[in-house]
Amino acid sequence: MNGQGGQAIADAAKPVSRTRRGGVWLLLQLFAIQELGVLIAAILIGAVFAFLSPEFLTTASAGSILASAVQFGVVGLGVTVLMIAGEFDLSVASVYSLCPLVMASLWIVHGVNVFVALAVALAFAAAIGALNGLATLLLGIPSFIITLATALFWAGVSLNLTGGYPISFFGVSPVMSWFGGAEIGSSKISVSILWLVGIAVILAAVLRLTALGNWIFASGGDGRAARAMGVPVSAVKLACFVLSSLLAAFTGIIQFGSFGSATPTQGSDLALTALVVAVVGGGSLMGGRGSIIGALLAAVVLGMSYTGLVLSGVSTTWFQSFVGFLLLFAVVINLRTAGLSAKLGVIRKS
Amino acid sequence: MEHASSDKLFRLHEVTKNFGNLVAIQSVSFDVARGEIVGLVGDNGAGKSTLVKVMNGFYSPDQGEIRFEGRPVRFNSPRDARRIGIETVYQDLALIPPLSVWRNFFLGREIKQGRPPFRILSKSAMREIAIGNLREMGLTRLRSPDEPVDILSGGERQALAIARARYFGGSLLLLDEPTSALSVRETEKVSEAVHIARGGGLGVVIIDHNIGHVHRICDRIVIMEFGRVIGSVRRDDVTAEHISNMVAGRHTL
Repeated sequence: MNGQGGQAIADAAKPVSRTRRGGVWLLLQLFAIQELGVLIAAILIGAVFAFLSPEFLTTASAGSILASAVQFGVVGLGVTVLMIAGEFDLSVASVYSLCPLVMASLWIVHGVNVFVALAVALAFAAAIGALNGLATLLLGIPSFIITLATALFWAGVSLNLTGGYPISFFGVSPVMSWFGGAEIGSSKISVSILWLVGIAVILAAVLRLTALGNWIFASGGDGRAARAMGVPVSAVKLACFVLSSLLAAFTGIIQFGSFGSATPTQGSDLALTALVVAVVGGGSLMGGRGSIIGALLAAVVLGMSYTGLVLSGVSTTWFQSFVGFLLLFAVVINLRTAGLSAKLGVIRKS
Repeated sequence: MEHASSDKLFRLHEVTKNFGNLVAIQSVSFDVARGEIVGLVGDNGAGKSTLVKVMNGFYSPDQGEIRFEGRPVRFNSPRDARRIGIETVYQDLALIPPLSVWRNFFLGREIKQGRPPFRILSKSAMREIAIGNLREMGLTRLRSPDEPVDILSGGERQALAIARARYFGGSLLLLDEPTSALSVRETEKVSEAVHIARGGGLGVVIIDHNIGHVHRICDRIVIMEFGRVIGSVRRDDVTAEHISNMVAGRHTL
């Protein structure tokens, strides 16, 4: 009788303890997510703005959030990959304004075929990236300095190309539609988000699934050791410089497509914002660490912040201050969650 | 004579290397047998590093001959040496701390699957091989090949580098300062890894400043001074102190 009662208690206790163990297991798996820090930031900031403004959770607001996310994200992804490879690119803001100007100037002012103009602008961006890379690798000067110098130089070229005036497009062109002018179906969401997602998927796959991805992480983690293991570190870094510059130009062209106007002075703070995207996404200034998914989430967080401030009735002039706060907040969460998962003994898959 | 040279895995005969007017090593003869652990000691500038760099193809010698498994060989680059299974583990150039164990293990020699240009990493195969080889090396504390290298201790990192060199090389292992900056306990891990590698028939050459460590790990110790080999002693015949005296220039043997 007594034994039977004990058995019944044990039976009753079993499923409880199993679910509890299951719950703990699930919680631990959460800590295995490399992007947990920025994920928490995204949820918190989304919740705060949803609370502050009822319009935050509408499709119109989603369209605005995603449009900003594209602007911060596409350029941020390139900077993230370059940062994983252990290098910086401060010239992205200048490339972002110069390359659409080159395209617009050739196409609209000089009547060159739009596809030729686009190809020339992208080739020009690739050349600027290659120049950044070659100067950094051949002169042995930190890329921070090299790209600061080229950022200033190309910003000046932008201003002088049009005398400081914007070039605007009036009319209809499929190219402009593809790069952001059109919306997906009948939604208020620009097609530009497809570029961001597509580029992110490709970059994430390259970084995590290919040997090249392994080499990019290794080149940034310890270039000398990677070279000793036969990794072509200089070629890898050069490719990342070109990618960063190409994606900066691409962002500028998406902006041109979306608003129909290329301005020499636009996006002057984009170089630092792109760095914020990479770091909030889990990237390390020392190289060898970073995440495309994290950077993507970081871009969405920035987009939410921008739109959220507007909808909450706060002036967008406070946006930069907010980004500063966000950067600190996200880095602290990133470090804490990484430290906690190490303490809990959770292994993050690589 | 011919027979004597062919049972050696690797043999340098009267090798000289100059840098301009500076003679880095002068008619040095040196050999390693399969399964033998040879320590290379000497003061700074004695020529140890140059000798290792001649062995791994970093430098080509000005005079002398290199034989591998009895046949004369000529290396034009470290890649040539690697191709016949000579692997070098440099103390500070071995691993990338933020990368996981399996990514480090296969860095530069990744296993891939699929057709180009869509060749992707065979992660499960690499994870399995990496963890298996590390367990064999006595790295049992490691729970997963996905753990980053920066959580490993100094001795464990050396063991990982040795396991990798053994897996990819399989004939001669050159270790540059594998125990410097390691505690006695960590040195034991390196020693264990070296002995396991030797058990599979690898020849091992260890350069180290710590004569105590060299004496504990190696079968034979070669002492260099001013670019020449001044002695080769079996570990069982001498004490660590004897070797220290020879390195310091007090030739009491």
